[in-house]
Amino acid sequence: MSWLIAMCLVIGASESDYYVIENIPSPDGEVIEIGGLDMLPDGALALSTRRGRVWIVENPDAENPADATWHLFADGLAEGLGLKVVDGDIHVVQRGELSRLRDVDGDRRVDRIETITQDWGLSNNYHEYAFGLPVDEQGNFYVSLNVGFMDPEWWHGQSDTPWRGWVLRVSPDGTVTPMASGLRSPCGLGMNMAGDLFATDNQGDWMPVCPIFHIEEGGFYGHPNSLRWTDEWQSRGEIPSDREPVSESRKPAAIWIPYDWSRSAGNLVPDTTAGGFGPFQEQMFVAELTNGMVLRADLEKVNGQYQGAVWPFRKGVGSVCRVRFGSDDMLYAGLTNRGWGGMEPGYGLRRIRWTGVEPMEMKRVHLLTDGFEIEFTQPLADDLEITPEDVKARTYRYNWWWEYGSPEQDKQSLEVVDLSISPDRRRLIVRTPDLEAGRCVRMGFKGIRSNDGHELLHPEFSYTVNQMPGQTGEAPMIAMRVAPPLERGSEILDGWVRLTWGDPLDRVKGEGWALGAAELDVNGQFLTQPGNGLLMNDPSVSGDMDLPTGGIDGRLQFSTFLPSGGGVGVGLPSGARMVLQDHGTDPPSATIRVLDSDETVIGEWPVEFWFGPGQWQVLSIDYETSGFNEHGHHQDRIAGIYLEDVVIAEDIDLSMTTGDDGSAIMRMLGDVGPGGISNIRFHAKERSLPGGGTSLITEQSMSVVKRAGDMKAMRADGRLELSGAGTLEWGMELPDSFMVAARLRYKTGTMARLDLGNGLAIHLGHDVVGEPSTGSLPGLDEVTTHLVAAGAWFNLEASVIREDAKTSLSVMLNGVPLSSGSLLQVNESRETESRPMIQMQSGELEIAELRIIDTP
Amino acid sequence: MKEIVVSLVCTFVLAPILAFGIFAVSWWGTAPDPIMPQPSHLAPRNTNTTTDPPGSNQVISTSMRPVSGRLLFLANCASCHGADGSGKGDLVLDRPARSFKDGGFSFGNTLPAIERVIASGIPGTPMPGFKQTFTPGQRRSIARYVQSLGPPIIKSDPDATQMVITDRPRVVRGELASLGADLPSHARGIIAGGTDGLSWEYRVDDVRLLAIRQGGFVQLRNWDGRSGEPLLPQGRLLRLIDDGGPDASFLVNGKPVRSVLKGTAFQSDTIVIEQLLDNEDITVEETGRAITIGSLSGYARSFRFGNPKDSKVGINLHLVGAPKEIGRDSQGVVWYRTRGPDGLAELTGLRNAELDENNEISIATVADGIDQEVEIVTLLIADWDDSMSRTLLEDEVST
Repeated sequence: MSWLIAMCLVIGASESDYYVIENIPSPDGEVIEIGGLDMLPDGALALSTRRGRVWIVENPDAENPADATWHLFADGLAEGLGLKVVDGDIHVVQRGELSRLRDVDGDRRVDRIETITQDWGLSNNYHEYAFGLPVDEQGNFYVSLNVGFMDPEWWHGQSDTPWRGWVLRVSPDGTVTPMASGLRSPCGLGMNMAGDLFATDNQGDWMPVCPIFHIEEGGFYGHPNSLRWTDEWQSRGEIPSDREPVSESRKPAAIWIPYDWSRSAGNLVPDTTAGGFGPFQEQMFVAELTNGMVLRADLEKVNGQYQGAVWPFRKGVGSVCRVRFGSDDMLYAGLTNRGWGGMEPGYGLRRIRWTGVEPMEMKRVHLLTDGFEIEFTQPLADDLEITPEDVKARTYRYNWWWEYGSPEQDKQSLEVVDLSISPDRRRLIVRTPDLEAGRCVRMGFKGIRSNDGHELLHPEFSYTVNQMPGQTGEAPMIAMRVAPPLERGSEILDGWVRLTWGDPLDRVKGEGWALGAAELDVNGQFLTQPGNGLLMNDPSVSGDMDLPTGGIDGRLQFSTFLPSGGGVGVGLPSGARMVLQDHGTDPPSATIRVLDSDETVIGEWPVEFWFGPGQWQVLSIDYETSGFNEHGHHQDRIAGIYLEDVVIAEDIDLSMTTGDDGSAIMRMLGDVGPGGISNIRFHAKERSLPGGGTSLITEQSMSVVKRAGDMKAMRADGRLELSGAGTLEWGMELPDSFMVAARLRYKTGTMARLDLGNGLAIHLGHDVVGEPSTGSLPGLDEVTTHLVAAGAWFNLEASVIREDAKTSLSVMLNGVPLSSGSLLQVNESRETESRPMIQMQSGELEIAELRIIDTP
Repeated sequence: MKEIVVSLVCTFVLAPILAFGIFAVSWWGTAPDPIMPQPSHLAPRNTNTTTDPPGSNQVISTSMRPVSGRLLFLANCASCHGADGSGKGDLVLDRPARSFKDGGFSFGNTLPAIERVIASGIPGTPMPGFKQTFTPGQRRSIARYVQSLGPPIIKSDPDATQMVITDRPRVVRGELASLGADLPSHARGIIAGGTDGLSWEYRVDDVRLLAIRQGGFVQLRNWDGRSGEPLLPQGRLLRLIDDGGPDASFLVNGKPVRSVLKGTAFQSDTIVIEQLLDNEDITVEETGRAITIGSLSGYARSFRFGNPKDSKVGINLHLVGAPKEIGRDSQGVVWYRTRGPDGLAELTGLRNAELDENNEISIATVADGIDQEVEIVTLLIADWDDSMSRTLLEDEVST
């Protein structure tokens, strides 16, 4: 019996009462990293590994798992992440081909490796895995291909070779038909009892969490890059952006598995044991690596589409990549980890055996028009009373974006109004009338127990409600299309210009706009109080507030706070207007309208994510001053309007019928409102610095600088870091007219200036409000708004032009022109030799680029 | 309800922005600013305090003396990942941090993979990038420490990755490294090794022989890390075909054709490379073996064609320089002499094929017939002298 003690891993006392995990020892010294599992007709198990080997395990169901015997059937394959036995022959999907492995003489060793197809793209990218390998009744194989993960931007999965991110159907003669696109890392394929094909994917870019997709011909599942291989994208000669969402309609996930249950999903198989594995016949069992467990999914068809519930099933299995039911009613689990983030143990073969004791579980969850019908494996205790307080339920959605996964968005508690138990006490009906399509539900119970006193083994389920029963029309996607994030998260302040941060009325000036506290009175109208929380307008007296961002492509973003019935308007460079209007209703509602320059309404959209008056919300507009339309007219475009990152409208062409009047100015409209705005900021799409010139931070340039004071100057990684107080003067003589191109950042409290000769200087850094801030031109143009954030990299572009006695200086920060001025000097008073110099008063300044470009 | 929503927005929309703002502010300092400076902030005020975001904890200055990975981890990572790496830090995150103890690495547990995640973070998760915070050396020491928290890394046994041929031929599929400075690597490749010690390296997309080696077979290097490492051939390079970038192997009716891999089969001492000439119904079974003739040694390639339409098939001989005929031996093999690669001379014998020139390329044109077998023998010698012709034309071939 000692083997039993050694082999039965009793992890999680309660689950192990019902399902026992047993290890089938690997051959000595072998690391068995399993990528494919299937049964041979004689009851032996065939498995393929990431190390390119195929093993045959005889007697896998031996009472003592150590009695199973292993034979090396083949080696030298290029990975085997899917294996299927067809007509007695082992088929393996390798990284670059689908192969039939023939044992002609029956000695359990391969004699021929036949290439069925190698008709898909493969580069040297390490992550271009090929997974499989279900077979349908016609003998077609199904293979899924991972996108490539590059360096350094590995978070943008790429489909650099054909059919990466696709599911392929391979006919028995080797013909490859690309079947469905939009997958990312579809590690697991499987068919349910009805023969429908499903795929799991791994959370990451465009995959908010791990999904179970029902794979249908022609379906697009959300990862855009793979679309490049479609005829449509090929004929356009374009590649889908890895940052912008595409407009192709997506297939929803049948199940989005909660993040805490799955972070790396493997394959899935239906329970074909007809009761031999317990009470979950025909349900799907899903491999999960990161949490080292097997999940259980119960799918139903609602309005013809698969969706359903998912539960944790058995923890402590190890990094399960593949599961397969044996002819002996056991669930075999193939483990793989190596670099994939799986839980220990990370390799080997295990089996899960039902002890014959039925657990108290939710067996099925069936969606009703106003709630759920939950079927239990055993009747509920006769004396059990259950009230809404015993049920905890919430709903949520996800973001569909390029960021790595998505937190649950728009979480709301779901009210349970009534509970009723069926006469046979096997079913519980949970009434939740607020339930809507397009949301995931997470529901947990406390106190539920069976007659023999057993509590629910897994008290929580998650159900993916793509469709409500009887619903007509299109259901909203649970993975919401949202504004594409501009930057990697940790660099979120890079590239922005903050037009109202610090001194809010320095760079933007509007007649009749008041600075105050953001408060509303009992009627929902502005309560004007002193403060600096927002800028308020009065449409009867206020003028427009011009922004310096006209004519620049980029994202304008601001926070808005409206009184009841209030609004906020943005005047666009084309002369068009965008107006957000609260309707003063209860419950609150609002619309966004875009009107062309001649007041034609181009579009009107309800705001579905409207918090109402007295609540801050962030509005973003992506504006493009793109070239000319087909008639040769200038045609600007709104690429997107987003509220709280949720897409309101996209791709709005603006016709500019009124010509040039007022063009190229972006403004906050004074006559729309009243409304409150704050934190107006702009992120220019194009912020590259002019090239060329002489760099001041090379070793050579730095070797001839003159220093004074206690300033420390240190070169690191090609950058220059300055701290303390003092001056640094370069030996280079400045030409008459030139440009400065610089990339900089500084710590809070930094005060520094870049001197450009003849009294011209640019202030860098900021301290208290009212003092000069970055972009300030001493004596010429005082900037008191903290236009760039401390700690964020920004681009500074300055132009010095000398014409006779007049010298002009103008400065752009992050691509936006923000300050300028000119100086009149008679020639005699000019310095004969002027040199660039940095004066530091305090703080720390870092310089990644600093070049002087002669512009004769 | 509204309050909940606002609070959620604060948590999920504002908090990350603030968090990263704070992170960005504290990039450099020994004493980081505790909060985002908001002088006269014209910013939304409903910044309900939520849990301190990651990155707001104290960051150890890069300007301090080197500290151990453990100290850096405790100061910068433990608040989310837990002091013991269990993923149970003090901060409550909407998506909990990985448990390194359980081997929970998002992007691999190799040192470069962990360093990469430390540098760039994981977008969309609370895991920030620390590229600005730590020097590469510090990232390496943190990565080492983090790796040590996890389960032991299974390093493959170097002996096990060494494929050796004993009594049975072997074939291995995988990526082939570039064979020269300007040559591409090949994502699909085959190396077939016979029991005679020769191994044959083919790129697979169009089945072209690239190189012939003698000695050891192959080391598998993709058993560590996450894959993508090319095969490492172990033998001494005997012959690089067309400098490693060969033209098409076969011609049909004078035109080069693509060959498609149909499979590999095991014979007692060698591997058969089975091919189909694209758009033709011509099958090819190709094998190679070592031979010696007298004191001369080299290799022979055999091609068995199934050519139902009796098309005119040619085999590219990949010869260097123009061939000179030496003569015909008793078995009907016609011998030629060419300059050969790398200052060597090369002797080529053709059985059941005739030499042709096609655009200055030497081609062995296969004899007519729907089922033909051709052998091409290659001997590499230091210098040609005329006494060799006797050896060639009179000695028996032995293998």
